[in-house]
Amino acid sequence: MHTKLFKITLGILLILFLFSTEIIFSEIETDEVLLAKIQKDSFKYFLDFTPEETGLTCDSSAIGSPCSIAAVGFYLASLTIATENNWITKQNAYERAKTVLNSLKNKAHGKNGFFYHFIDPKTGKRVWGSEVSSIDTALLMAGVLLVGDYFKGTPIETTAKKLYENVQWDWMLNNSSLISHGYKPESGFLPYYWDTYSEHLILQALAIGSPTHPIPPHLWNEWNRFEEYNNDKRIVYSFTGSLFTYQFSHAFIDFRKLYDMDINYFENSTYATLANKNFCKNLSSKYITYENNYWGLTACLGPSGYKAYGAKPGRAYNDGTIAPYGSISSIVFTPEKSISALNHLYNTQKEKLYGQYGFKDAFNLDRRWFARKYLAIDQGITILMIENYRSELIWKYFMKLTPIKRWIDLCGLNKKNS
Amino acid sequence: MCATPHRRKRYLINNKIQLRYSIYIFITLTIVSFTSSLCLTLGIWNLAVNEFSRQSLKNRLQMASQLHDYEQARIGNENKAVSRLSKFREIDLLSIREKEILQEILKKNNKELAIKAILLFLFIALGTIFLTHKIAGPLFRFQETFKEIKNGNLALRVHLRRTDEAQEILPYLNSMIGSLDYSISKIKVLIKNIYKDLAKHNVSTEDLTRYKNDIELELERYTTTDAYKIV
Repeated sequence: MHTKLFKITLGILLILFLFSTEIIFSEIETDEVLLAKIQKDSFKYFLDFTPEETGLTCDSSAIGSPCSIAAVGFYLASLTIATENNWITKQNAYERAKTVLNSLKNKAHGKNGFFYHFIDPKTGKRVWGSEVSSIDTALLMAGVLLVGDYFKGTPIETTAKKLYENVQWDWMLNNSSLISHGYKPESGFLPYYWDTYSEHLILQALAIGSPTHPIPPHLWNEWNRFEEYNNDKRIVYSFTGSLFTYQFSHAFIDFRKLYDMDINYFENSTYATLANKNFCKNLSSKYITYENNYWGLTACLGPSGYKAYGAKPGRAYNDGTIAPYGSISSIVFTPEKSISALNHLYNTQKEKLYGQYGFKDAFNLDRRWFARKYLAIDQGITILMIENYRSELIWKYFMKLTPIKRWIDLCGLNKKNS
Repeated sequence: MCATPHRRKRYLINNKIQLRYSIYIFITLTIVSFTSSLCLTLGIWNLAVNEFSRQSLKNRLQMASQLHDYEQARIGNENKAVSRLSKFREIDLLSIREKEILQEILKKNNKELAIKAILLFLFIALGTIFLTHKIAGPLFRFQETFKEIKNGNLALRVHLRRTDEAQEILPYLNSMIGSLDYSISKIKVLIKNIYKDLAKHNVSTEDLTRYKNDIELELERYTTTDAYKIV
């Protein structure tokens, strides 16, 4: 009798064990599957909004959208991800990358190696009277160097190197100690400079690490590192407090082991992300969007146009608009919270917010507003950050690049100093 | 005050030829004008109409607004105080874009028109060669014939292609050559007969007078100048 009871109990326990294991595994699998789905769907944007003949990606899904050169940088980087995940063949990725680099070499307009922020996706000519942009050229070059390294030993590597070496980073200083936002032939340099912490770390890295036209390494210390404590954590913050400023450079550069004196920017982004989440939570009584547990204040489309939404520390401009990419692209900093956020977004707003190219740009429940458009750089950062979380692919390739190593050495970032 | 000699009083001298050539020129010019107009309509105007349609303008206005927002977001300048001023910037951006589009349309169409103009020039050139050949061909033949006649060849006759001009004067020309041919050959025969009779020694004064009269009669048909004078 006891033996029988023992056997029944053992059987029940075994069933319960198997059942719970399945639940655990299925949950893990669900997260993985959803991440892969978002990544793959977001990549489709680049396939559909990049003209095959030039490879110059459109800035957004809006009709008549120009090409944004930063978007092209993200497109190039995402080609490596698409190849590794077998969404496209390596040969296809190679051909696509080759088309882009040839367009940059022969078609795209610019000055002194820099490119215009917005160009015609088919002709490469400057449009909308846009500026020769420093940060957008940097994001483009990050993608260019990445594919150059990914297709090592091919003509792509040679062209990529040449494009990077053509950029006269020192010219963008405009005889000052800071890098200008850009230049317009009609009016000269823009009166704005990269003077505080923001997404420009990638620009600094590529400019200092350049073998042909570098900026002096000591200029690394010229921009302001404004600090503020949030929940007892020190945060070197950007002016807008937008999440993208803590993400864009990190999509390419693995800051985990780098120290700017005693600042670790990976840690800094983690704290900034947590601060962003808490900021939304603290305003949940004021905004329905935040009340519903959505967070991720960053630059995106909103009911009143494109705005650099952000949280404290920083200017913290917000109106209840949330961009899904904000929380998702912080996945390397706050994996659990970001995965939870994307599950929440997907499960609750899928119908209105999720389309064939992944999450649409933003939404605002207070204004009952949902974006209908996708923005290339927002899709791009989503793809890259998820991949860094999953396999660290972009970081692995990018951190091997000679200019990056040179920047780290010249600025002494590989050791912690107080 | 004196009247110009050889002044042309009638402009429709040969109705048939003039009418035909009027039709040729009219057709050529119509084809050229039609092709040019079609290029302009389907090219410049069509592009312009599409580019400046309500929907396109709406799209561009939205894009101008978005790009302006990008600019403001980058420099962190989004407060409401400047929102009214931002309209100026949006319009400024839009006008820049409109200018770019117009320039693009004109450049594109100028390029297309240049190619089409070259084709039309070629068409006109070939057409001209074809048409002038209808006149130049017969003139050349006449010239060659006159040379031959000058050199004494009266055995030839002029032949023109069916579509060549100057078909009307061809019978007269050939008839003239035929007439000359007849006279000269007649005189040649008469002279030959005189020599034949002289050789036989049976020629009388009456016979010689008859031959002389025949030759004179034949030569009398022709009015000449005093181009040849016996010194």
